[in-house]
Amino acid sequence: MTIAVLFLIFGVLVVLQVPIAFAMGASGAVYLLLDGLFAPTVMVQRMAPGLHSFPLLAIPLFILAGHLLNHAGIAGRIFAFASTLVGHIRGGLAHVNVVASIIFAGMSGVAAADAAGLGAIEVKAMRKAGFTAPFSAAITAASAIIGPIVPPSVIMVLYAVMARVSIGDMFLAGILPGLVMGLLLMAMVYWLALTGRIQAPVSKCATLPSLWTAFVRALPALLAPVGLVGGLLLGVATPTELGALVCIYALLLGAIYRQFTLGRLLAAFSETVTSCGVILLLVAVGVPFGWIVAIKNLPQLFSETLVSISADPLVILLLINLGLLIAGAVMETAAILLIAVPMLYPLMQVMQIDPIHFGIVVVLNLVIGVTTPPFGMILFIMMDVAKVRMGELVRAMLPFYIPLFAVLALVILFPDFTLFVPRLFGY
Amino acid sequence: MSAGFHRVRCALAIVGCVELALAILILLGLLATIGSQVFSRYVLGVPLIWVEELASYLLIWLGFSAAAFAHKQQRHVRIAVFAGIRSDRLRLWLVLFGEVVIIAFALIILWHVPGPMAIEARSTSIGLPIDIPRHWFFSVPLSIGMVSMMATSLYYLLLGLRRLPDGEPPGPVLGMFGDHEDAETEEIEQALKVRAE
Repeated sequence: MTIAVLFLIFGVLVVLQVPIAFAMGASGAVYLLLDGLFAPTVMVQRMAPGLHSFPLLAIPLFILAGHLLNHAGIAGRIFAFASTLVGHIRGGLAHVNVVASIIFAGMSGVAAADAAGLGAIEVKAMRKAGFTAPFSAAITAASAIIGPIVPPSVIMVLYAVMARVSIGDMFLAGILPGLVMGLLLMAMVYWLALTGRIQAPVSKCATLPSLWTAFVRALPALLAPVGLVGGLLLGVATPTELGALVCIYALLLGAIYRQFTLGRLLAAFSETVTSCGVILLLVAVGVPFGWIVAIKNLPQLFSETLVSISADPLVILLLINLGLLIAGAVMETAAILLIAVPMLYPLMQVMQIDPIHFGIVVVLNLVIGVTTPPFGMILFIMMDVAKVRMGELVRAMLPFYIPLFAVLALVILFPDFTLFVPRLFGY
Repeated sequence: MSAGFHRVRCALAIVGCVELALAILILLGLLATIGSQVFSRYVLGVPLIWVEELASYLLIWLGFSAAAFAHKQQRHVRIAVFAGIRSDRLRLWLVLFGEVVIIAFALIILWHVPGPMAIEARSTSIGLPIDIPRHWFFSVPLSIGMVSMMATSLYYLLLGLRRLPDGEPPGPVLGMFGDHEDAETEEIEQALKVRAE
C-alpha cells in the first residue's frame, strides 16, 4: 500500500483536532493493519524502546531546570539586571525583554516555557511601563524563540538523538545564531523607537553602583548558563549530566533565595511532568512512525525527487526551508522533527551538507514557524498572556520577522556562521 | 454531573495524582542517580556502570506515566483547526471523535502487547546490580499508560455523549497543581521595584 495513505490518515486526524501524538500513533497502527506486511506489534516493539536512550534524558532534565529556575525567583533578578543594563537605550523595556530572554535561554530549553514563564513577567512589566499589549506580546514572542537556539535546547537534543550527532556540538552551534538574533531584534526595536513607530518609554541610565548591585543579585542566575556552556566546552560532563547538575543548582538557588514553597516546587514539577508527557509520548509514537516511513523507502524517494529538481545544495536547503517553515506554522515542532529528520537526513548525506549545520537550519525554521500564523504555538501563548487578538499580534510581529529571517538566511548561506564555535572546540 | 460520573472522575483524579507522584519520584531519582554518577566519577574516581541503564529505564516509566497525567489535564497538543466555529455541538463532536481515536489506538496497542511482553520477559537488565526482566521496563509501563489513557478517554467520551444536547465539552479530570500566580506576581513586583531604585 502506498505510503501516502499513512500521511493522509495522519493529516485527516490532525485536521479533525485529534491530539498529534495520538494521530501519529493511530495513523501508524491503522496503516500497518491495512498494509498487512507487518503486524501492529511493531508499534509495541518500538514505542517503549524508542524512549530507551540516555541522551534523551536531557529533555526532562532541561525542562525541569527551566521550570525550577522559573519558580526560584530568578526571573525577577534577571529582569532587573537586564533593566539596569539596557533599559536606558531607546526602546527601553523592549531591549530588556530581549536581553532577559537571552540570559534565560541559557538556562531553559523550551520556547513555550520561556514565553509563558518569563514572558508573562515581561509583558506585565511592559504594559505597566506604557507599551501597547500587541507590541509587548510580539517582542516577547520573538525573543522567546531564542530559548531553543541558545543552549540548552530540547529540540536540539531531539534532533541530535535522531540524526545521531553530538548534542554538545549542536548546543555550541546554536550560540552564535542565538546571540545575533538577539542583537538584530534589539536593532529592530531601536529602529522602531527611533522612527516613532512605537511609543517606548526609557528609564534613566543606571549608575555604576546600581548596575553592580543588580549584577550581584543576578550573578547566581547568570552562573547557570556560564556553567552549562563551560561544562560543555571543557567536556566535564555529558549534556544529560549537565542537565541534572543545572537542576540541582536551581534547587539550591531556590533554597538559598528562600523562594521554594511547597506549592511552587509542586508547580515546577507538575509543569515538568506535563511537558514531558506531551513530548515523550510524541517521541514514543514518532519512532515507529519514522520506522514505517523508512521501510517504505520514502527518504530515498524524497531524496531522488528533490535532487531531480536541483543538484545545488543551496536550492535544496531553500526548498527544505520552505517546507519546514510551512510545517512549523501548522504543526508541533517535536512532531515535525520526528517525521522530517528521518526523511531528510539521507538527503543531507547525499548532498554532503554538514549535519550540525543542517540541524541548526531545521531548528531555526521550526522555531520561527511557531511564531507564524495560523497555528504558531507561541502566538497562542502570547495571545493568552497579553490578552490580544491574533490579528493585532501578527501585525505587531511583522517587523520582527525581518531579523528572524535575516538570521535564518545567514545560517543557510554561511555554514561557518554556525560551525565556527563547534570547530573552535574540536568539531 | 451525575453521581456515577462524579465517582469516576474522582477515581481518575486519584490515579492522576499517583501518576504525578510517580513521575516526580522518577525525576528526583534521575537527579540523584545522574548526580551521583558525576560525583562518583570525579570525586571517588569510580564510574557507576549501572546509572545509564537505570536512568534510561526510568525515562520510559516517566514518559508513559507523564503522558497519562497530561491526558488527564487535556494538555496533549492538538491543532485547533476549527477554533473559530460557533457551533458548540460540532466542537463537541470533534472532541468525541478524538477520544474515540485515542481509545481505538490504545486498544490496538494493548491487543498486541502480550507477544512482545513474553519475549522481553525472557531477557533481563544488563548492568543493574539485580537482574530484572526487561518487560518491567518496556511493555509494562506502556500497557499501564495506555490503560490509564484509555480509561480517561472513555470517561471524556461518555460524559461528552451525555452532554450532546448542551454541546458542553468535558473539562479536564485534573487542573493545574501548585502555586503559579503568586510566583509571577511577586517576581514582577520585585523586578519593577529594583528597576525603580
